[in-house]
Amino acid sequence: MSIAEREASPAATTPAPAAGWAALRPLLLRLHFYAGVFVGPFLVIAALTGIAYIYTPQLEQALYDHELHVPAGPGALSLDRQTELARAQVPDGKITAVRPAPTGTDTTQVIFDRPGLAPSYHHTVFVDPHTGEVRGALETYGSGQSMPVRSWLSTLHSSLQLGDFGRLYSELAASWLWVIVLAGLALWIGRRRRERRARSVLLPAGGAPGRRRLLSWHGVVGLWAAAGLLFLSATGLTWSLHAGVSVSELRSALDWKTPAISAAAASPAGADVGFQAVRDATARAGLSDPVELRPPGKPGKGYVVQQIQRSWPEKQDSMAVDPATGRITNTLRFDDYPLAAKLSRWGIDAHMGLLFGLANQIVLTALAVGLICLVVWGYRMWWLRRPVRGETRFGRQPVRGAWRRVPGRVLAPVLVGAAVVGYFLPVLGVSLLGFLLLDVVLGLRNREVAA
Amino acid sequence: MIGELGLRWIVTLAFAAAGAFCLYRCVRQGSAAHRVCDVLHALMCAGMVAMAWPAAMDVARVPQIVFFSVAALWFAGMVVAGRKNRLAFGYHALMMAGMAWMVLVMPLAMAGAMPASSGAGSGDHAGMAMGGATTMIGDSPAHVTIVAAALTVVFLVAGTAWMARAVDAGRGDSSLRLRTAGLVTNGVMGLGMALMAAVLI
Repeated sequence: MSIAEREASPAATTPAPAAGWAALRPLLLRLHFYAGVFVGPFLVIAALTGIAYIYTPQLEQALYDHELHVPAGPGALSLDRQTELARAQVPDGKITAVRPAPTGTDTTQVIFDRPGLAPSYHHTVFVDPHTGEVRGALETYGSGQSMPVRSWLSTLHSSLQLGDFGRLYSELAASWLWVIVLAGLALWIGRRRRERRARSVLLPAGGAPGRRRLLSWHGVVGLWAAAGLLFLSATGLTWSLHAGVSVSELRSALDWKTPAISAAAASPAGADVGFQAVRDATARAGLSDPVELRPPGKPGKGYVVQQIQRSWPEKQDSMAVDPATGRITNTLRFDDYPLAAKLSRWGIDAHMGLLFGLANQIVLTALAVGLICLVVWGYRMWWLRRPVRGETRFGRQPVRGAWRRVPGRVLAPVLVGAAVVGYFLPVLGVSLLGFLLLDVVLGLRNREVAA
Repeated sequence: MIGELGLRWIVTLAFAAAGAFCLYRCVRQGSAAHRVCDVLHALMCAGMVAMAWPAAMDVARVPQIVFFSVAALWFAGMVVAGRKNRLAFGYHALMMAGMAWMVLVMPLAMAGAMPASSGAGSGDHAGMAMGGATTMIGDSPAHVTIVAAALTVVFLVAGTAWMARAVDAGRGDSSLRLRTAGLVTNGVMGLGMALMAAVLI
């Protein structure tokens, strides 16, 4: 037999596959069903812990009122004096940043690195800018200066306090969420023509309780929440353990990285005008509060003063200051960031509920509650499909062999696309492979039982 | 050369499996000419595996270029001599020529390659600081980039088309498993070629 014969297509032996939507729908239904059943619990956990996390700004203000706030008073000590007072409390620490009190009723935060701290954690001393009284010290986290309660809830949301292993749960949820949402959207919008009136697509059906009404609520809420859920999935993946690496590589390759200000300074080592002079110079140049001042990390570097407002309108401008002269050597405006870097900043802050304050928090809460309802309704519909007689306790699954009805010209690009996506989102890829293997094993077992 | 270790192993396993199948089919069936085709494909798979690994990508470059050029001519001859499946043989000729070209330009494309660390991103969630990824960012000459991009598209489309035929064949008569596996092998080789060409961009 020649290659030509070996590769020729014997059409007579191949059943004609279904065309178009009729072929794709069963495949999407199986995908939506199995992925939903598998990932549903993780999505519920992510939604619940996410709701708790969203309100941590208010929680922080209440729990750490003594550290964060002071009575209004006349005048203020210089930043250099305040840092001296804080440094006396942490003899083994090295100052990495100072956040001057943005208003008369806030404390100044002096941020230290000290031995024994986990990566990205800081030791922060809170100083009354009017009296110099040290109001307390806390272990804070990251560029957002999360207080302990926010750090704890954040870790709960991201990893269930289980370290890198626990991060797989949130990555699994974020990796599958967009797949489930897109498949669900296609299924809902692509329903049979007689059911596809605009009202039934956009608004939930009334009538007697039952599977049909649940399906209507599941579809309509899913439709309205889809854009928000896709956003949460995409931004959530940027923090994930494995897919986050792919996102970082993509941003690097496309030059979408957040620009960093150059703080090179040609001043002689040891010369230092101090925090207050640096802050005064940048304030005169128009850099308004709230800001963070980072001292030179090594000789040849200058101070960096960075705005830290994460709510709209974001303040993220930064300036570099020569430590010897107090002269501003460089300025980086948020307005000059590449669009992708701005979108990244806005996306992260919106995901964390910071960008639009209370409105942002309410929208995220609604999305999370909607997601929980979608999962619960999905399980409920499965339960309602169970046989009322016999020993089977679970509902019927969508029929097997859906792929056999999809034409190769449709299925092959889908498979290639899935392989590419699975590579860049490895948790999705590995779990998808697991699904397929399990499905094959179950299919073989069913065949044996039937025989 | 593929910088990413995981991807390197995927390519290695895929081409090893494809090469093994070609040898198996060569032993099982086919005319003398088509057994030669299978051997050429098996050797191409071995060449691709070698090209994926840093230590082996420069091994016997000139003999490889000569060999794959001759293999391309062989398939071109099959196009001229044959009456059926000229398109498929033409595709195999292009694949062998592409292989020879990739062996030729690989050192040129990799000369500017450097490990690029991704930024730390925004580690705003506790315990979720982004990992520092390392990838190979190539700085290929323009002509290499253009040809590599064209080959990527061609082999991506071709590999997907072979896969589509494999899917259609797979749902048919179960006695044609060898034929289906052959189509899958062609798909894997095409997609692997696309991936390798994409590395050169």
